[in-house]
Amino acid sequence: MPNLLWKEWHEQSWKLGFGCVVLGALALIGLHSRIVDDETMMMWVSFLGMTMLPVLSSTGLVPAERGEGSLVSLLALPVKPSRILASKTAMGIALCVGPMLVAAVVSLLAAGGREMPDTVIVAFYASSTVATLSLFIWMLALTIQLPSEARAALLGVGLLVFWLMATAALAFPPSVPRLALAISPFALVYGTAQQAVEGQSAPLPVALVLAVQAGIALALWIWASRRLSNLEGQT
Amino acid sequence: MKQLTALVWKEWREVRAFLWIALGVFIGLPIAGGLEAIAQYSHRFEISASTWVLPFGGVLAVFVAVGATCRDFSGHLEDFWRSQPVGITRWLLAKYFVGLAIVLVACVLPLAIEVSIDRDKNALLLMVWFPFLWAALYGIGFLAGCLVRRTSHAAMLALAAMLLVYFLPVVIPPLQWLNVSTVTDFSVLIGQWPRVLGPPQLAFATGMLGLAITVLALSLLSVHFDWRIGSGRKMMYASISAAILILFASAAFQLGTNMPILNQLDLPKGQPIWGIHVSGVDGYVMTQRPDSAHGELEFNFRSLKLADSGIELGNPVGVGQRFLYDRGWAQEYAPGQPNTAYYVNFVGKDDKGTLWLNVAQLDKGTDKPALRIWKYEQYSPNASWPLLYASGDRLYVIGARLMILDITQPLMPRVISDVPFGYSFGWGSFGNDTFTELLPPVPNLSPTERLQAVTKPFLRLEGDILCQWLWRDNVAVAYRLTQLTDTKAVFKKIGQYKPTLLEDIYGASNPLDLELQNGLLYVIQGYSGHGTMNPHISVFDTHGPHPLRLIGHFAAPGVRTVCPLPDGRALVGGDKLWLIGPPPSNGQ
Repeated sequence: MPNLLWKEWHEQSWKLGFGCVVLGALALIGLHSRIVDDETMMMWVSFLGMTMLPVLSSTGLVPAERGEGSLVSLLALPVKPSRILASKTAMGIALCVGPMLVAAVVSLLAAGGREMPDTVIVAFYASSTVATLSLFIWMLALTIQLPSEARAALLGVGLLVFWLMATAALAFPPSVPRLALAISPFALVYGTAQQAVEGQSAPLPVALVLAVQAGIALALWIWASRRLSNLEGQT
Repeated sequence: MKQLTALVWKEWREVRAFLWIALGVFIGLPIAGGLEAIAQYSHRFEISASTWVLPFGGVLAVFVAVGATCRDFSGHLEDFWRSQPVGITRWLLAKYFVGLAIVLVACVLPLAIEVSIDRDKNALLLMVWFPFLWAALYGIGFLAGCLVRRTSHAAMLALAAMLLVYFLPVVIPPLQWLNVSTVTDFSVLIGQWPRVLGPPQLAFATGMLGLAITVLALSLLSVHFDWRIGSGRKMMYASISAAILILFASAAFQLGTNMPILNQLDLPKGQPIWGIHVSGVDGYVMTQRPDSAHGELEFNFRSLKLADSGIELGNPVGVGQRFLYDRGWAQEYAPGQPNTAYYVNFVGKDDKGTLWLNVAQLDKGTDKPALRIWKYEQYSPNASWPLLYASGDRLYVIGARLMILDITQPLMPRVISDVPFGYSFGWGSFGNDTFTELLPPVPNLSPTERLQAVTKPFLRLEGDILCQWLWRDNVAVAYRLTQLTDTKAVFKKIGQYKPTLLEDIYGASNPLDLELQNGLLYVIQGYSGHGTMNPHISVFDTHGPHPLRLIGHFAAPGVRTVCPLPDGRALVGGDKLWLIGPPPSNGQ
């Protein structure tokens, strides 16, 4: 396992640096210059993170490996596919969490307590990170059998658009049960949380959303692991 | 010559597919749109090619250039070409000009068709000046292809550079002359021909031509000396994100907040400030009541004191909705008593009724009718909503009648004169280079006071400077008073400010309100009702050789109102109450 992790780190660490630099720089420039109010700026940073990081991380793990032809060699190793996927998932999680963490730290240093209390900033980035991770797992599972990084990226963008539209549908009409929103990766982030703040709807219990998201993520991961095992059988 | 013809023929064969595709998009789709319009609502066939050429012309230029270069630089094709008895410069130039001709024909031909068919002739400006931009973008794509030599990577790199060409001039003022929007003045009416030739257009064309020649020279040198850039995913990610960060940092440099927060006061959630009035160190704020329903806002009055220790707010007193607009059409304060206000309201049914003068005690949340003014019927020739103006111990009600009231006892105004007057307020020629306003001949008021009375509701007047935002044209204008007599005031326009595209993106259009104090014009912008459109204040200097120079910016949550103080500081109300310092170049 450590060897697998080292391999993923060796291949993907530049993306971690890239994500940290982009999100950190965006947060620093925006919050230092106060071009917009702090909450809007953090919303922009979070939105960029939620859209960019899952695509960037999920497409580079399995589809890129397949595109380069190295996945066959990897699966031929005397290691369970689930372990290979676990190491890739761990790296993907790092790719999603690391830049969001950097952006949160930069935001706290640049604007902590200025317009928003520190706790609110932390909660803001934490909920955005949950959404990022949820989207990453969705993309990881759905793109695992795609032959190239480009196709995986297209599917990832499509999935992103789907969930944005689905969240809008789940969040707004009163005919949809409120709890149904918990299945959306965006259940805890700004737009839907803001509705609750403005009294338009009752807030969703955070623990419930986290439990639902964790359940979905686990199911997707197991499904992805099986698909990878099937690939091993085919190769 | 024969060799050159062969090269041109070969290039034409390779890139002509782009021409057919582009003509299909730039002419075919607009024709379909025109036919659809005829079927639905229009009686005249018009073709709107510019809506396609404008956004995609640059992309086409990049694709053609990258396609032309990378095709012959891939694999062994380059070795083949270098082994041929053809000068590399001649070969490259043939490639360059054939591709450029394809781009220009594909973009200009649809625009020419549009100009010849449509009544709107604005596409002529695009037809004349945008080829310089497309040539520059084509050159950038050509250079990217020569250096990178991988189609997708070169295209991404060139598209990132295209972003910079489009937007750097927007965000960096010294590059403003290269901004594409400076060559397009679409303000002419349908049927009229736009003014094509002017200094901004020539400057733009020169700049773009210079850029195109430079990148062509670099392309030739790069091939001649075999310069290459080893591209990969890392470089692609880095170049695109760097371009975006450069644009964002430049925008932040231009529009970033530069007015320091000296003090701030948190407010309970859901109780933002909508109005501030300060006289000396005392005043009040109007805060939204927490029980306000959406669309029917109720307000609290809270007294305000500016102390050395900070800002102190008094307890909330419910005052409903009626005292919010402290400088509205017909509202006035008792001189020296900011908590006592007079306002006019309409009592009646539908459009017929009576106007009443009321006296309000803001700090107590009470008001009472004090005087019946006159009958009011909307749309009738005699309809006249009055102006209120207080001076010394007199309150003037100016309109269809002139009523002068004694306000020695502010809560009990007493009529001392009531005569027919026939004054009706209007700013018909406002916005022109000069305009004249007739002043109401109110006895006992000086010309300056008469001018203050008529400007108070809508315009901002300080000394001889008058400012306002022209919503129709989305510009701020400044006038200087050039003549003031008992009966009229003449103003001459001295400055105008139109927000840049970047400022529009950041919510500069449709300001909520303006304040003028200390020679600074404070404009509240970006408020959308929910604070999501970048609510902020822009500050303009009305003095100096170029009046209405943007010198300050302050963005904060839910900014709705500003009250400049005589010492240069300003109170800003929104989701919090901020006391901010002056912009850095104030008074310089």
